[in-house]
Amino acid sequence: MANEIVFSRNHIDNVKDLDVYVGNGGYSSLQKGLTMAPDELIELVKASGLRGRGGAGFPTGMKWSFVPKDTSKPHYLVCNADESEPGTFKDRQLMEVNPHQLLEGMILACHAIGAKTGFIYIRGEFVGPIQIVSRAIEQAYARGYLGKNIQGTGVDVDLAVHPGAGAYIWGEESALLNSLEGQRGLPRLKPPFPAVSGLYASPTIINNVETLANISHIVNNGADWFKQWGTERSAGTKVVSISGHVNRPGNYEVPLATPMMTLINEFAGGVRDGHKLKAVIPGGSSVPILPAEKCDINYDYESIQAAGSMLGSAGMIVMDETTCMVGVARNLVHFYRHESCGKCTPCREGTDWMFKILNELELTGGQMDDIDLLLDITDNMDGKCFCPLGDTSIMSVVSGIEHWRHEFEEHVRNGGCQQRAQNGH
Amino acid sequence: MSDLVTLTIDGQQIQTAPNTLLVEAAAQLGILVPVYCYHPKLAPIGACRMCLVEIEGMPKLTPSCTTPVKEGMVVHTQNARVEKARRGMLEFLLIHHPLDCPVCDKGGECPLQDYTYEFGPRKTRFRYPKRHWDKPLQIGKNILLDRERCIMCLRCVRFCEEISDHQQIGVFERGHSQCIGTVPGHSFDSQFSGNTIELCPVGALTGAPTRFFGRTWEIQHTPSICTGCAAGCNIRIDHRQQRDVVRLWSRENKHTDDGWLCDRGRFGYEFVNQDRLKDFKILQDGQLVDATTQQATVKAASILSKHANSGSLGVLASPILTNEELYAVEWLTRSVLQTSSIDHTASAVNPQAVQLHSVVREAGFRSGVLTDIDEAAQIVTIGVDLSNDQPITELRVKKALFQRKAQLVSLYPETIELGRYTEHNLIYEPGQEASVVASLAAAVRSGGGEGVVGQAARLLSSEAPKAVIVGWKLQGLSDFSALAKALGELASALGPDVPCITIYPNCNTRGALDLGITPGWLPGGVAATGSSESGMTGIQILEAARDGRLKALWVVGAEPLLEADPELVKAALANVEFIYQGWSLRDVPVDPDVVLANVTFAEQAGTFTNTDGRVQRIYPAVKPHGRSRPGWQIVADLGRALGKTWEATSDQEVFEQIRQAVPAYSQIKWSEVGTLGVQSGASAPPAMAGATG
Ligand SMILES: Cc1cc2nc3c(=O)[nH]c(=O)nc-3n(C[C@H](O)[C@H](O)[C@H](O)COP(=O)(O)O)c2cc1C
Ligand code: SF4
Ligand code: SF4
Repeated sequence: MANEIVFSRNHIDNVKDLDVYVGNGGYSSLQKGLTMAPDELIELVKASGLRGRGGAGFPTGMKWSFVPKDTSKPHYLVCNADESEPGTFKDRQLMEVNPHQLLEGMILACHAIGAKTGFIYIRGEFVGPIQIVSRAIEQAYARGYLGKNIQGTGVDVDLAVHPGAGAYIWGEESALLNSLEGQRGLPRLKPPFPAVSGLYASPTIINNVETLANISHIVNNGADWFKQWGTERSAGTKVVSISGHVNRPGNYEVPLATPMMTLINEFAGGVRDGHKLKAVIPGGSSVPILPAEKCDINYDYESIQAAGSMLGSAGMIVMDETTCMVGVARNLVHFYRHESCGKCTPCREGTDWMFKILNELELTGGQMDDIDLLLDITDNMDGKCFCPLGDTSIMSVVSGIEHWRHEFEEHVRNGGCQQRAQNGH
Repeated sequence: MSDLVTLTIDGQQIQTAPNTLLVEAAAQLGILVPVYCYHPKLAPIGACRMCLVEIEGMPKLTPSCTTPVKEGMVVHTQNARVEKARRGMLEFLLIHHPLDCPVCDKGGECPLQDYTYEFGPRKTRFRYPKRHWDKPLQIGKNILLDRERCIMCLRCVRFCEEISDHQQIGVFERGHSQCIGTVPGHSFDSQFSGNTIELCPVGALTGAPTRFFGRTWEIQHTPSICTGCAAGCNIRIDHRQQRDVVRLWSRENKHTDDGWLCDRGRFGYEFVNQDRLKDFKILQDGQLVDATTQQATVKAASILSKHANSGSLGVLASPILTNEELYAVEWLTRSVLQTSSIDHTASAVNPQAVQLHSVVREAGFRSGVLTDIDEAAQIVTIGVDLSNDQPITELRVKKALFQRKAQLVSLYPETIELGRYTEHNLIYEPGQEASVVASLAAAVRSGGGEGVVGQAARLLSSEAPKAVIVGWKLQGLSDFSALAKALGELASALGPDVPCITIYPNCNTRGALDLGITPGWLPGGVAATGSSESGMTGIQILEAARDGRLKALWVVGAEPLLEADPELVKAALANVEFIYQGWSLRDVPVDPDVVLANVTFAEQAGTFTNTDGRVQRIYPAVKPHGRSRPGWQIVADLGRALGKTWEATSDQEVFEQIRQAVPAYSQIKWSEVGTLGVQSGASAPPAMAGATG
């Protein structure tokens, strides 16, 4: 418990209710934060070393400082709660259990970037969180935590929920903005970056739920307090969503740089009974798969990168030795093929072609040269797509063939997946 | 020079303007970077990924269609890495492509085919069933969609969003199931739909009227001018061995069309191929029978000479004839036949309003040209609905509104299409033109006022470059002098040097006016004096013929007949000796006594003068049908038969004579007219004498 920030009030019964939240120190950061100059607030967040928790890990304070000071246009804050990355389910719990913590962070962030309006773009399938956050907003308005002159500080902030309509790509920030504007949700050309020209061509900051949930704690306790956890480049704590072949799947908030094996073995209760660890996807479906022998690392941005993967959205998918890596690739590529927005050629056609090959390998074996063909297709996609969705759709294929090429070859020799045949699929 | 950016592309240094896109900078060096989604007239989207290039210092390849040049950049467009990416992209585009080039209209001029030959893989590595769609889909009157050929460049959709704003097509579904389709409840009936056929880099969009027109390599191209309206859009006539016209294609000229065509022009060429007169004819025992050129010419000449100099002849000459043809008709009519009843139209035109472009100049406006719209921040349209009256100019106005946020004030009896983009719709009862213009002028002078007029006036009283557009419908006003006065007040209220563009109806109405094909006006816009002063107008000619006051009519081209009441036309033609010179009898309701077979614009050389006075050349694309001949040659023969020799053996020689006769054309050098035309001078003589009075 002592190592938790955004989950620190999760144990409190009904903390999603405003009274309970306030009774437990909630909204206490506003008096301090809203009376600070916006620049001071930005400097504080910079000093804390907080990095964006949505996937890219961009330093939050620095992002806020990109908002131009000299525009006549309104500024906007958008909370990215589209959480659709396979393996990632932390934002959902953050909203379900403690919605006011998010609102408190957003009010502070609005003040920092000079926004009077914020939107919470929640994945449409998250019916529960949509209701809970909407209810929290109503309560906050009723008690003067939102609206005009919040708690007598002279700061005005309006917040509203916008339910998404069901596409993974709308988690990509510029596609999200198009969707929020009522357009087809395709990613936009950058530059201009949203901080300069985002929602309705106005300066806009987009932050992940968890990023924003940290803000009130940083304001209350200071940058040094936050930096007591983690490393120089990975400050603070992180909620890790652990799923797959573990005994206790779930969200765990741990200090960054906690050993990955501690996360698996202690927090998640170890690999499911009697089985051996085979592989881990450390940061959501868009990052390379690490084989077990590379998993003896600390869970922080730089260590995971050094091991050849990424922390990403911290959706950790654990696989034991029964896992077929061709099946993993097929499953994930199927997801990307389904979610490709279709705008650019390599992602639209590449995900389709990769899936067709993987599907054949899995079901009827395909041909031996399909394996190199797959790698060549990934090479023709890598870094050539319009947005990261396409570029990262190849991760499971590239790392799968790199570490488990023999499994792909066995599929060809055996005319498909033996395991699938045994399991009677 | 200092504000240019210097960079290196494939080892060559180039200096170019800041913000130039890499793909354009490469083109300036003659380096081809293949593109599909990029089009110079559409905002770049970076979707097809064909144009990826390597920039030193950048880890990833970069799309050259969305990346502007930067000082010191070192770019590679043809190294192994770029070429592999290009090959990969083509392979992706081809995996589901039907490869039906042998039956595709685009084959032979298809960038997908061309780049595949040049950069693409030789063999397919895709072993699965291809995507299938129902095809072709007729998505609009003129457009067929083949989704299997579509490469999702979205040029078609972007044209409809950014250029025409006729948002009838869009993208549906996503990823590998994504497709182009019509917006629910709409069909793709935009009058600009045909442009998407040209924009489509593959054969996914083809023209319904032109489908299977032939193989592109069997088609020849000839530059010409569209005869659909007075904009003077430059076109390319595509024809098969000079036999028949198979399609019309745009030919960009920034002075007239800006690279686009409307469907009326693009698909309106059947008259060249169908119902054509191949032979000269004469009426014998109530029957039209083929005659030799000589026989028909002699008979026509005898009718003309019978009525020469007697006031019993009327002449109607179509405003889609060339300047050379009209000049010849005018010469024969006034100089040889001593006849003053000559007109190019049979619609009601107030005599004071005939030379509308001169009227507005007299009112105090500068003679405007279409490109003035490109400079204007405020545009005032008076009595014109460009949607109908000159569609391509509507696109030019839309460009000003969309891309430069120009503002529009529209004065028209109803809300026009362009009215969607403005709050300043001054809608009036027909007949109230003069008072609306006058009250707008008064309000501008006082800086504002009540209601819509006041609001529009507030806008117009600000300092901003303006352009005024007036339409030919105003020519019909019975009380035209009041309007002329009001236009004068508006011109002085708007300030000095505001251009005013006149919108005329037909492709050579302006030429007909310049060449005196109108009663009371001689070539050069000189008001007629003496005996030619009192010619009849087109309607008067028809009425006089019906009533027996005229004994003979010489009609060159049927267009004026289509403007008058069909009963009047029939009665008039039936009651006189009738010489018809034209390319088809389709619109001629009464058998003529003599038929002289004239070629169309597609079969001859000559010039047209567009709405703003631009003189542009046409070139013969197809061979004359049968024994039909250019009109000026037929007229020369008539002259000879009447004992008057007219020396001209080529269109150029006729044009030289026109230059002598029309001061506004005197500065035009034939050699400079070329394929893009030359603006005629504003040096026409004072035109208003006796007109606005
Ligand atoms: C395909 C794709 C999906 C994404 N989905 C999410 C998402 O569901 N939630 C999220 O916060 N960020 C998502 N991102 C990252 C966002 O684009 C953006 O970087 C992030 O919201 C910024 O917030 P942060 O700085 O607080 O991390 C996604 C990015 C991509 C390319
Ligand atoms: S990579 Fe291309 S097709 Fe894929 S989601 Fe991004 S923009 Fe759309
Ligand atoms: S139909 Fe043609 S223009 Fe339209 S998206 Fe497809 S390929 Fe591009």
